[in-house]
Amino acid sequence: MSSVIRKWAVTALMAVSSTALFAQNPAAGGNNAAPANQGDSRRILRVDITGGISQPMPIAIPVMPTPNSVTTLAGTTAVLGRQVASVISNDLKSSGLFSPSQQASLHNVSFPEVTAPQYGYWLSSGAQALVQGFVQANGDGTLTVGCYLYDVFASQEMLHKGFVVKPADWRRAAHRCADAVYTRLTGEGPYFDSRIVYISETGPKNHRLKRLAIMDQDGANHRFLTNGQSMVLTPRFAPNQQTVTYLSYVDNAPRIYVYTLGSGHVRSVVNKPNTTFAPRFSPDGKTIVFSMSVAGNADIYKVPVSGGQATRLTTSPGIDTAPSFSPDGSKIVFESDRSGSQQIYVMNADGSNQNRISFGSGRYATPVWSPRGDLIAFTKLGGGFHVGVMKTDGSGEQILTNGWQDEGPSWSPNGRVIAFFRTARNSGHTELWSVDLTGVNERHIPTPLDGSDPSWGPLLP
Amino acid sequence: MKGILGGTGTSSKPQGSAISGPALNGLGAAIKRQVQPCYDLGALGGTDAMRIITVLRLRFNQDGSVNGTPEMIEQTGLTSDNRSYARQMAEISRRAVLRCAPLHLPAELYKGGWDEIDIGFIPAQMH
Repeated sequence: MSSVIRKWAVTALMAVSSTALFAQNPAAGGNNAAPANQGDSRRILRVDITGGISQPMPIAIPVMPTPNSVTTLAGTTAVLGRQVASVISNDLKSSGLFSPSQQASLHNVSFPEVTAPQYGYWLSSGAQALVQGFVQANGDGTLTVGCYLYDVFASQEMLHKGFVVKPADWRRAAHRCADAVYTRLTGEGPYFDSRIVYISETGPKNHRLKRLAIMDQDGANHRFLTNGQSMVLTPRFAPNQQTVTYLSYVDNAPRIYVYTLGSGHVRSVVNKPNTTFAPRFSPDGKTIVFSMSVAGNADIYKVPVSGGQATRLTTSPGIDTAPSFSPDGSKIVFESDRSGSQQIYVMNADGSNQNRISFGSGRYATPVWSPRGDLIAFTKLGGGFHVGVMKTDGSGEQILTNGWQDEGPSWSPNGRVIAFFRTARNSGHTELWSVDLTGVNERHIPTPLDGSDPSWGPLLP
Repeated sequence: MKGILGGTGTSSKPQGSAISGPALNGLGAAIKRQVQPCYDLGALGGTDAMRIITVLRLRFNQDGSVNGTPEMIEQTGLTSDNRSYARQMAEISRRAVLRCAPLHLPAELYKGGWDEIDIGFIPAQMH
């Protein structure tokens, strides 16, 4: 899909105009390039190029050399140089915005060449951008990964950075280099150096084992966090990524909990006998907003993360659920069936000023506010389940996926990509996928078992 | 001072130049035809960056290669939503020219014609 070429209008009239030029500099380097009619009266031809094409940028990411191959806890620096280049290449390719050259076809870059690229060679290779770097073992047991980006046509360096990491964290250095390149070339925020928590599923439909699991955004460094004794659903990362809140059926009672990543410690959040569900952290990490069912009526509440008194925010009959804060913490988007069908509503964080924003055909669920604040992702129900986005006033609805059952959107840290899960029509198998805001670039995120309910964490510190 | 040249009238003819309006229009068409395929918006296609208009001033050698560094003389259409793309849009415009150079243009129209030109890059809406 990444090779899809989008064409923009080229139909507008070519405009040829003249621009008066006053006190213009003499033509540079012009033995015979200087116009004959220089001076105040000189007019310069103007040509307007209207429209253009948009295709993945050809980019070369050759193996990163090492000044001296040294064995580290993660392998030799020579091998790491190959692996770092591969991770950067995979990250950029996965965005759908870049077309990395086959690594094996590229020439071996020497260590001195890292800072003095052979532009002629790279120009002839077809690459428009070039990422070079090195992996060097430092005397103190750490590694330095050098990361350089060059504009091949302009023969210019665009950025250079160095990342010092423990050998075990070499993938993070690669992700951070990829983030730097992505940000420099696209103007978008970074997102590769981030993790996803999700629900790992296995076993027959009527006896699914559902465990909390965590991995890098590309599926690497996967590990299970819970053993599956109690079913776990709807995990949500805390902004500081130290904790995860989720719904679990401990003793068959659905309640929300907070799990601490380092220690594995689990604690209940709301000290009530009622069913609580759909938890999510506030942007400052101090509050959890959730649903609580009282006498069959589910409303939205908030409670300090440390525990204490829950504050009721909605009072309507019916089910109010799936609350999600705006990034500035001032508003909450949620779903409610108060109108007779599931729709999306926005209210102030104190529960005031509740307004419906979705009015399209079908029903809407699981709204999530973008970290950029400009869009709300949702699951559209009706004729299957599809993931879409709309502006925060409900306008500009756009459906991004067309699987049989796509649901549970979660935003990447830069608000440019959405993770979701896809259920296969016949087998019922679930997989994690991501899609960008154009809806063109879908990516399968590999998991060892079935996966559902992804929650994409913020950029790692 | 800017104006669209329609191929008629004196405004279509650079002052002090012997190049006729029709010749100038033909020259503009040739430049557009050669640069257009290299105007690749890449990652920024379909984003708010499409509202940014970039104008470069370019000097050419007689063999059609770019002389010196393209200079951005104007950038308009910037908003709070697309300001972060401004640098990238300028670079994309520059890349378009460098990628398609050398341009193949009539030698007789070089002086006072295409020895120095402005190219406006105007992204349009996706069809």
